[in-house]
Amino acid sequence: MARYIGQRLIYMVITLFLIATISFILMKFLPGTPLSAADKLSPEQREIILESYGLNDPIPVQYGKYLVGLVQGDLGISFQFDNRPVTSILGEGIPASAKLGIQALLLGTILGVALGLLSAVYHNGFTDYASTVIAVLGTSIPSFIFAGIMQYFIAVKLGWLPVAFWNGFEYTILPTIALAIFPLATCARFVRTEMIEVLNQDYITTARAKGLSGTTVVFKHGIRNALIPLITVLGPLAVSLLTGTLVIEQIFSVPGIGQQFVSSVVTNDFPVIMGTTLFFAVVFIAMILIIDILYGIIDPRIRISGGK
Amino acid sequence: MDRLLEVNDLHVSFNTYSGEVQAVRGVNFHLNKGETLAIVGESGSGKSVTTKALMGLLPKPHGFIKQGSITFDNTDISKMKDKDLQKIRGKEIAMIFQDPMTSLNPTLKVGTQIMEGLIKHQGMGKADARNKAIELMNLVQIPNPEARMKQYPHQFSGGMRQRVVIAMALACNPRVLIADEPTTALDVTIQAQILDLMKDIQKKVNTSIIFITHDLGVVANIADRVAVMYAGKIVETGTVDEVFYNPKHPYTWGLLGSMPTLESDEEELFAIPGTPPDLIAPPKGDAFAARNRFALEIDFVEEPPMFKVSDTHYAATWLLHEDAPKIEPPASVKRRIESMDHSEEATRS
Repeated sequence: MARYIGQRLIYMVITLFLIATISFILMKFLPGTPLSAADKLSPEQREIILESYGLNDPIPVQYGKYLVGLVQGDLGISFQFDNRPVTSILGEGIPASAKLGIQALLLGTILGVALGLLSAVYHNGFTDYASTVIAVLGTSIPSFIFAGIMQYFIAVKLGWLPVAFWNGFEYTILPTIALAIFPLATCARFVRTEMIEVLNQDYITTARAKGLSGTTVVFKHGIRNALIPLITVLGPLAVSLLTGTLVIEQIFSVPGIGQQFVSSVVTNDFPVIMGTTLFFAVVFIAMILIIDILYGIIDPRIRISGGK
Repeated sequence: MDRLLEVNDLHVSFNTYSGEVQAVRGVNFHLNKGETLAIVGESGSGKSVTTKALMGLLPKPHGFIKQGSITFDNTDISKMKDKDLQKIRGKEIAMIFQDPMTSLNPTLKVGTQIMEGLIKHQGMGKADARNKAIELMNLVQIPNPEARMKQYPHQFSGGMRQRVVIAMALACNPRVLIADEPTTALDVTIQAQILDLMKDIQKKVNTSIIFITHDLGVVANIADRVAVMYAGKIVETGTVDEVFYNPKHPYTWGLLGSMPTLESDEEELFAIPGTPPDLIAPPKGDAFAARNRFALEIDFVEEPPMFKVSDTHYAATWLLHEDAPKIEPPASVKRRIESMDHSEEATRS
């Protein structure tokens, strides 16, 4: 197992190197410079600034410098935020985004799995129809609509919770709910389908033939088998939640990484764009590794060979 | 003899989009203590559905017992609530399924799956259940049970998995063991091993067995009595000798005739023409009439009752009516029966 994870970590480094290279090249194709919007600068001033940031160097030299910095853990200096290092900008945005993402992920998957199981067990009953309606609404209505509705009724009209900003737990509740609706609906639909299929399997009949009660059959024999495929879906879902969500962060004024990403793209702030991209890549690759390990834990059939 | 289980006029139906499928249409049979009853018939004749109904395992909500009774130990279990049935399932009546590749839970250890029933029905603690499970695995001849307990189904071969399924079924010493085509999914050499094992175990634990199969060779090997099912009804029933050497129903003739024997390489294998009837709208009269070359006119009008051949041998065919023409089984079937006789003697000696 340790050997397997070690191997995977090496692959991760190679993948990250490729991603860094490709995104560097792509960025050099972007039109404009960080100074495109600064009309008041004279051409001479421009030259001085570009020179000082190293943007006049030949591209291979820029690339070399960038890689050297990367290995040392230096992601460069932001152009837009008063020359602050990119790492400190990311370090500021990540906690809020991650907190929001984890909360939404937990809320969404737990409720979603529960809802999906209920509708599979009471297949074609009231619970099933109710949860199908929730699932359809959740997947088809964008989260910012829910966000707006909740802000208006719960925050403005009823005054139960703050409308926006990020000053403590109660500020996280509304954005968490808004973010959780999509994973909730996705999980509910997915788990319902899987569980209905599992409950029709022969081994469920075997379990019932042993005289086990309905709850034992569902919990001991059903759920585990129904959740295996869910892990595959959860990976990308988790990544999209953990890496910050532009719209929800914007609506609730959450100082997260999503907001920073948008402003850095708009201003051609290359180091911040690169840094954020690499951060997303790291989270994504790590998630894939976690999922592969989880698979092995939950499903004995694909336990990684050699380990034990 | 003690009647352990008695099924009376059992009707089982399934609601489907195209209508109500009458899978079982008035089945009567009984099972005595310690005997093996084989139910034979082609696919779709209702044999599996009958046993699923016995266990209360019909797929809900579309499968249901429409009519009739199932008396086990002097109580009608056909109308029991699921909660009460749970106390009988696995404890008094246990089941071995057809396909060992799918009937074990892939994510639970084999030992856990054997122990479950023991913990539920015998109130055993984990340690006791573990010992009993090892004992059961020894009984079904799984080598190295202590280590095998901790393994998952995918680490077992098909034959070994079926042994696990049998061990699971035997866990609580059930009085009735229902085996639903337990050897169909296994290859031939393993089939023989499993059959021998089942016979062996029956002697040891003295349980009654209902053995469902479409393989008449298996029936001759394991059963005391046979019930032949066609289109949701039992058309002939009797002891193995009666049904094999003195078959009365043309459908039984067809089944015997279509059984390959060692000597049959020169002779063409007999096939029953046509397909079984649509059970959404079962035909009037004898359901087998359309495929029966000995069918009488009355077969298309009125259903034959069970005619008595002997105290234990009954068949539902108008050919047994006193006014019916005397028809002998076709020559090829007769030859088949004779050759069977010889091979039986050969295996017995």
